[in-house]
Amino acid sequence: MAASMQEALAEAQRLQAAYGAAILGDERLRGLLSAYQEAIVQTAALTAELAVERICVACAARDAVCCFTGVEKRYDQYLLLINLLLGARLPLEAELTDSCFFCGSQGCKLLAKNSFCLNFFCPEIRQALGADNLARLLRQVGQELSAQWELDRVLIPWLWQRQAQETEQGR
Amino acid sequence: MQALGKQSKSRGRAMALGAWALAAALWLLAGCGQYGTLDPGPNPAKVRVLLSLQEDRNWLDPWDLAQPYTRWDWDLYLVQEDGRLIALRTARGQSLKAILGHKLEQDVVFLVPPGQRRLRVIVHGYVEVQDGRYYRPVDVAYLNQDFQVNLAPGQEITLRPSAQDRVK
Repeated sequence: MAASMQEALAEAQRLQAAYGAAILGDERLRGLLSAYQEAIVQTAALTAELAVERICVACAARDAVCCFTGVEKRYDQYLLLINLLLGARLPLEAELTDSCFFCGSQGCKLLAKNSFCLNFFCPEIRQALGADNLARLLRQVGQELSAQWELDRVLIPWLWQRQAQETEQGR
Repeated sequence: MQALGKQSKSRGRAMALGAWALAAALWLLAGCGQYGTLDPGPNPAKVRVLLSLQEDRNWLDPWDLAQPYTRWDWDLYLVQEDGRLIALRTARGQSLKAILGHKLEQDVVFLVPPGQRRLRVIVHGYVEVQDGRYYRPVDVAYLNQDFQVNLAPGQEITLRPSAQDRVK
């Protein structure tokens, strides 16, 4: 595992320990987290309805997963913190070789996903879905990413502010 | 520390089962031959696919902040009458995913059941484009070409999908 990934994981754990309770106690942040979680659930429901999982399972089983090694570097401490806040268990070590650090025997271990992962649709999925269903799914992915962005733009400055206050108090 | 709540946890578990979840049993099957591919039967034809493709970064917008690496995924499929695709088995079990390089040079033999068949080669080359903290995949190569073939048992043929058939 790259040092930067270890650092991001450790920092996410530290942020959760230091601020997790306060984040969940903040009405605005809790509301944004709930809205984001709801969007994630809706994306999962639509993906299941469109049977995308069946294509992914067959494809992964015959070859390898498309979640390539290195894509985990797109996950910084903030997105990993959001995963912890949503109840995801972050792995300490990679389970599979030659694939994303977060990919396990039952698929992705994350709940809050990077826009790259959500927007990646291989040609086999594109052709199986057809234009209309692909557009439906992309719209829902857009909703999920919009909810993630809304949370990011409040949570990250909130964390910066807290950290700055603590630095001031420590002087 | 408590996460978003019990409801959140149950939803989280439901999420883990949905979307891109892959069944553990199928991972085990993956080691026992190429699950998810068409069984080619006892005396399959051998279809050799020769690919030589180059990425085209002109497909990117000039202001896109693209990563330097291009990844390629490709496969050969049998097109069924209803249009559904079934992946064909490679003779040597090569991986055809996340191949790195500005060019894609491939020489792979697939096992195909004899008879009148419509085969489709799909190749997808993509790069990561960065928007601040966010990334998205953008195509820099795409090929989707069909071949009508009539294969005798054990016959060997070669397909050379052509760059001219790329569609953006």
